[in-house]
Amino acid sequence: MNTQEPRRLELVPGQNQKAEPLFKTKEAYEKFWADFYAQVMPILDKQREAHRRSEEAAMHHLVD
Amino acid sequence: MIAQENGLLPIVTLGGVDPWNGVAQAASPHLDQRGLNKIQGALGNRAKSVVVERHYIDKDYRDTFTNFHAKKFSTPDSRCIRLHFFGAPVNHELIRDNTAVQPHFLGYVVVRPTRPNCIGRTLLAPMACGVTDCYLSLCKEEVSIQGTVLTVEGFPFISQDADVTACAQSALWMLARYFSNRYHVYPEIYPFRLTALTKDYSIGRLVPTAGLYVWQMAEALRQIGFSPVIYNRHEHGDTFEHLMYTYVESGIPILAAFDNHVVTLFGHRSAFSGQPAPQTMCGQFTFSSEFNCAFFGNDDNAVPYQTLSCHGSMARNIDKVERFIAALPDRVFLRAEGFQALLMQVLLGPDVGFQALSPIISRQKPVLRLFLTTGRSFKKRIAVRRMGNSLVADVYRNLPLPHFIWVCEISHAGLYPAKIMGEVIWDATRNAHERDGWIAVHYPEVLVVDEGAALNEPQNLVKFSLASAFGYPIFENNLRNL
Repeated sequence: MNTQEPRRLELVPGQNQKAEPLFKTKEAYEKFWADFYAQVMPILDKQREAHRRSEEAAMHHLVD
Repeated sequence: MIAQENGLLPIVTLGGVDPWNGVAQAASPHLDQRGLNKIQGALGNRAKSVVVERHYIDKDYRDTFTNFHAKKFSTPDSRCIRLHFFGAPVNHELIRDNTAVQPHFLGYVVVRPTRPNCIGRTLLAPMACGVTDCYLSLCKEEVSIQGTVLTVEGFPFISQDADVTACAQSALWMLARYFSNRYHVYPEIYPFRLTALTKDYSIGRLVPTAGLYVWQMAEALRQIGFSPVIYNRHEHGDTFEHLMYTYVESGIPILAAFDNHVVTLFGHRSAFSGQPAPQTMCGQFTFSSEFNCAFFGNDDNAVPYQTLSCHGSMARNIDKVERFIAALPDRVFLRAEGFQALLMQVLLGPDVGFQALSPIISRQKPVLRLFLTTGRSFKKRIAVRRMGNSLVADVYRNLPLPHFIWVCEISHAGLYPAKIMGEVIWDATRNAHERDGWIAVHYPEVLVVDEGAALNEPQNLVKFSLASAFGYPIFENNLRNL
């Protein structure tokens, strides 16, 4: 039976000494993304609606 | 002067009082005055000799001949004439030596026996048409003149034949031929086949064509492997022309539809020395699109490499474009405006925004340049660009990247476009609602990467502090700087 921990890959040699987590806690991380998408979602919703209307209008635009 | 006038490959030396008269003679009866005027208009006096390849079998014309012209009582010739242009005098001896004539090869025009438009498949080098000081998407083709293989790089052009193809099919053909020439994953599509792609989405007959609706053009693109998106000026307001620019800057030619016409746009010209055009998308940044003063495109009613001015008074200005189609690769799920919405939240956010993490960038209003590229192309240029810090270059080299990425380069007005100071990289194969799209945020002082998603694990954002930084070149691969 393999009892070894999975190997931890590094992006660069000695990464542990060169990098640190962006967020100190899980709560800070979750709050960041909650705030992020609270700001972004209304914009994305508007974009989706703009595309729906664009596609609808394209059905009536003949180019010859 | 025409050498071997009655042969299969006469060569016309352009000179004298009426230099193009010899071309009209040698290419008759296929080439009419209207076609000759177009060729003259495109090449001016840059062509010094023309090799006339008679009895040329053109794959695109043969497609429409087989499926349409051959069904008529009176049929046109099934063969074409191909004109090869050179920027220096050539003769039958020289033409057998490709090293001698390749430097002077300007490209070719196929002349069809169709009326009212005889100009068929065309690939001319931009320099042949006097086009300079711009950024263009280009593709290469090899042509064989009696066994001498020559290469030409340009953007494909074709005029409508008014039977099988109208401007819609011609614009689609130009876009599709660019992609099939440049990327082997896209199939080569011929004019009648393009028209036939809409057969399940049409009412009434397909030919003679009455044009296409914009959504039918998008559908045709979908059927040949693209993931097209349609933008309407009315719906996208201030960002409409910025989005056009962003796709063109990404090396994705767009189909720009006017009131009753459509053209293919594939390049732009920017004026970096002047003030950027006043736009109101986001007051905290200047976008590279604001330096744009013209788009370059092919209008099948005109000659290759037309300019569409952003601020002039031409009949067909950019502000007359009502909607456009961007033919995205099928793995690009994140649209340009979706990336921009996420980007604004990153750059202006309290935790990872440039004002929180980068005193250097905060000194001036940042200039942002957005584009789509492949992870492979991005990595290929890391060694030359050096990315402002050796640690950043090392991380980027090792970081597994998706096939397509959105990139936003960050610079300052005095520095751009010579140098940049950082970038944001986002996964273009994710939708906007997935937080794992984050790949990297790089400021001169710090690099934040998602180590988790890179290794196909849960997101793990790690921060590298950077001890030093230097400006480095913008990414150049999508477009050719002429």
